[in-house]
Amino acid sequence: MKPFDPRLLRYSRSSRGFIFTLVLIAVVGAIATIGQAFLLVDLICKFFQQKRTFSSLTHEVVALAAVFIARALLAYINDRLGARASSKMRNELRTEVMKKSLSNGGSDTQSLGTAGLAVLVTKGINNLDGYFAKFLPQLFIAVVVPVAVGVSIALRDWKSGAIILFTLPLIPIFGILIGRFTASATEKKWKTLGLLGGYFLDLLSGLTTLKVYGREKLQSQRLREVGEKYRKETMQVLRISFLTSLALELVATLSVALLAVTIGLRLVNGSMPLSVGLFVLVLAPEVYWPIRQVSAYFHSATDGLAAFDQLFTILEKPNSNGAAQLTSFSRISWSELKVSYPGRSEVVIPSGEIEPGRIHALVGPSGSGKSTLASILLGFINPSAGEVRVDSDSGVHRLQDLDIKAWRKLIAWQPQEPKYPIGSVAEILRYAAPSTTNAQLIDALIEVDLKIDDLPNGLETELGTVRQKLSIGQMRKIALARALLKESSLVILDEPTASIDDISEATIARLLEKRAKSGTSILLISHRELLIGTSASVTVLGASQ
Amino acid sequence: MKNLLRLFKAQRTEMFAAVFLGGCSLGAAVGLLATSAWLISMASTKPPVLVLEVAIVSVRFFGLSRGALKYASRILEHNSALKIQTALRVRIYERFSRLLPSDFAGLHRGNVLSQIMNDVELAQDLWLRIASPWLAALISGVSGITIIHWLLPSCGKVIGLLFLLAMFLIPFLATLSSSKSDTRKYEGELFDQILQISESAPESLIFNYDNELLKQIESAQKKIAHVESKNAQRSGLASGAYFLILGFTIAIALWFAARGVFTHQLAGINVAVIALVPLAIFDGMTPLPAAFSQLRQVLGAVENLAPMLEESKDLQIVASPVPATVKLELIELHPLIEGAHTRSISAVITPGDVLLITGRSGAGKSSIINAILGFLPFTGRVVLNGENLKAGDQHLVTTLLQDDYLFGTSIRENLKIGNPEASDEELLEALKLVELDKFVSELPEGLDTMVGPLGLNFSGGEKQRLKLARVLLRETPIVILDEPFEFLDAQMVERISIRVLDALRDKAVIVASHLSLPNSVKTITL
Repeated sequence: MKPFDPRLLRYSRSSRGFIFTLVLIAVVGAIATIGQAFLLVDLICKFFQQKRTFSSLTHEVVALAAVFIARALLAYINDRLGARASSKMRNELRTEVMKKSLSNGGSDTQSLGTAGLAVLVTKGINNLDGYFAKFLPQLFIAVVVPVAVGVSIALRDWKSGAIILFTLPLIPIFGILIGRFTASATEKKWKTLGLLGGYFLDLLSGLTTLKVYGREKLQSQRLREVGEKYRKETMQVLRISFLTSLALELVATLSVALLAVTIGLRLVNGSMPLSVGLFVLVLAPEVYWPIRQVSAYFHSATDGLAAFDQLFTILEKPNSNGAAQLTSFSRISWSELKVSYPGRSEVVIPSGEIEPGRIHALVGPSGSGKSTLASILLGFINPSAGEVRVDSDSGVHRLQDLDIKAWRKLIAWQPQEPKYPIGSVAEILRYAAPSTTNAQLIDALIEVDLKIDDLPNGLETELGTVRQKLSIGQMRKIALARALLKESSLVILDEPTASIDDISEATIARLLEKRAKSGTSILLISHRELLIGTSASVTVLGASQ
Repeated sequence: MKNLLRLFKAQRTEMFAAVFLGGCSLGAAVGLLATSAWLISMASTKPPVLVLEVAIVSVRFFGLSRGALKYASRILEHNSALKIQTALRVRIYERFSRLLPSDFAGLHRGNVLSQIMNDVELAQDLWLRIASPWLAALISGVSGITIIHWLLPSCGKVIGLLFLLAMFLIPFLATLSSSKSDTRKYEGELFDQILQISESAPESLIFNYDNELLKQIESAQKKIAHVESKNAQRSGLASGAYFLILGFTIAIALWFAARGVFTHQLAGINVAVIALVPLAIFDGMTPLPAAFSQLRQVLGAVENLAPMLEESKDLQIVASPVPATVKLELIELHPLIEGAHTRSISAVITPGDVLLITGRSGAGKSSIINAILGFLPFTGRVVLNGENLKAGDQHLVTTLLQDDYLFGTSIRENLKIGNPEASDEELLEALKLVELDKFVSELPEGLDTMVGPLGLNFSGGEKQRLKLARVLLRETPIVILDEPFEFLDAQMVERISIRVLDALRDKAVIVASHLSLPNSVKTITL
């Protein structure tokens, strides 16, 4: 990982102001600390060496009180501003990621899993806090504050300033050396830790299955073993990190000790007043502290870094969007298309075409790429080879040259496993056809052989809630009705009758024929012979296997 | 709470050792400041160097031991925290694994599991981030006050009181009226919304409600930001109070020191010690404001986990003996689901029988299966060899559920859940029945290929067949299959269903499916 990644500032505009504010507060804080040291040492020396009374030094005491009040205010502002800016930044980043992920049409959920994405966007982004609310500002603070404090020391005693100038770089040098030495080991460890941590979640998710197989007892021993392994591996990582801070602390302590020895000697032979010596020694640790803190925060920053890379893979995915605005089209054709998924052999889709007003069927064994072709036509994935062409009044366009939003307006789609947002059946159907009456919606449901009485609350039945009362078949029928309700030139149906009985299948076949006659092209993915029988043309996939 | 403490108790030696070492490390910092302040003051009086020798040695000792003690304390502390975390997870898992499946049916939906995961991590903060730093600060405070008290008793007493005031006032301010300071609930909401959005992303783009979805997360984010801002306000208030009390304490220390020198109760060289030691004493309190502002959050997590940690009686499931033959009777079996129209069925199944439950979608095929397994309440009876089917009969029944889970481990480990003793040959044999043997052996890592989000991207049909192979590996007299041939094309269903039913020919089989199966099958249409 890089300690500083400018991409973060690009995606979260408020982060710049946030970091600036925190650094500013730290600098003002440093000035207050210098003032505090100066006044405190001054008072000590006056009581000790001049035997002055407390009441004779009211000005100094009042000034010291003012310094503490200032520090109290700064601490309050720091906490408030810090939290506000940090949550603003996280929200910005989260919205940005979700926007992008939405426009990618769920290709991220394919690589991460839906729960994976949700964990990334909630917990992952929260963990980034350690990086941008602590580590990143500290990087800047570590440059500014030591300089400010160092200069204030040098102004009172240039010899001490010189020693600090020479010893100060030791800390970042040691830090980088240790970091380089341990980086690869730590990085590898963090990755396996992620895997081990997921084990508990995996077990709980599959508990029903384990119980059904009577294997749940065996797993608690295994959970203990994995936990033990997790502990050992985590401790190895932590040991490195704690040893690093110990080493840096020792370097700082030795540097201050070096300073103390020279000051001690000069005090004993009278070449330095106590007020200067005490001032230097009280402030000296403050010079090294901010730099050491960088290394300490690095540890909490690493927590969030796993999320870091994943977030930027989503954010930096190129948006392939053309300019051609289509309002209608006639024929769709494609050359041989190739799509590769990680870890398995390439999916090859033979060339084909959909004539306007015709049903075109896609058949082939599972995994042969039927749904892949649907995803290509919907603009969710791009083939690695081959292209889709669309005929329209304005000529022939390649699919990648079309404005994707305008193109999607012309298509309706019934996915294999519909996922609904929270809302009633009526609301969800109206997204497809906004000005439809309830009666028309009921008709549309009857057309796909779903009786309104079969739905617990009729059109008001809630979909997308945690407790789903509808069967998978009913959900598919609603998705089919939705696809057919949308005014569109192409309807893509992915397994419309999987887990639906034969009676409905005949009804649906008639319905599709009727829709095609009205001029709509239909791309039909199905295993069912009855439905395939309605099609004017067929593409057979995976024929070579 | 009591149960959580019991888990903590097992680690108490390590935990208290860590706090003690942490306190000593802070104490060493106090010692370092005190001895070096004395040393510098003494040096300015130009004494013979020998007088300084003891102080020089102590400065070195405190300087080195501060870091070493901190290192030891952090290692011990994290080690015990991780042990507690494992114990918590095991305890929760064991508790859940003793429940009936119907009791945790809602568990894998939405944020419930991720909430449990987070709460397990948060619960340990009660010790790690809250109690332990407070105790360590107390130890270091006592050591510093002892030094001041030894030099100037009256000053030590007053500073001791001020220190105690800070130790209680800071946590009080940081937790002030914090009843609504728990963001966990809203974070759960946000998690569910994001889950929903990412699941329905493709459809929202086609049906044009993508902006609608984005608006949903805005409101949850706003609520979280509001609570966080309130928490920060309290932590800021506590941090501010910290500096005010510190300033006041130092002023008081200076006043006592000045008076002490004036009245000859205090040697001049000790002024710096008295004035500077409070800085070191208060240093241990710096993590408290932020930590205590999260207290409500941590307690919320503990409360959420508490019922999961209760001692549960083992259900004492005694496995019934394996009978020579089985006769499974469904008598007027009627699953009860609110708002759904289901009907009851009756049937008798003996080895060699295949009962097919078929019907329209939504007719309740899966509900019947779930009722047989006891996952759903029902009226009527499920009778095995004359007695009601019970938990102890689990080893007699193998089930393929519609939402059967594939674990994030290798293909081999997933299949072995069906039969832990199966050899690789037997696994491949089962895969052959579902036409996956070639596919798996052609994978670069074969049976070791990982399944799940971090593994290979399996298609719906491939996952279904993997689950089916797992079912076939388990040897039980009764086999129940819920929609076993989903996501498969007609020809494959024909080939696989013949092979599967042939492999199960000696068993009592119940299949719920919208598809028709080969001949000689008893059929109930719902």
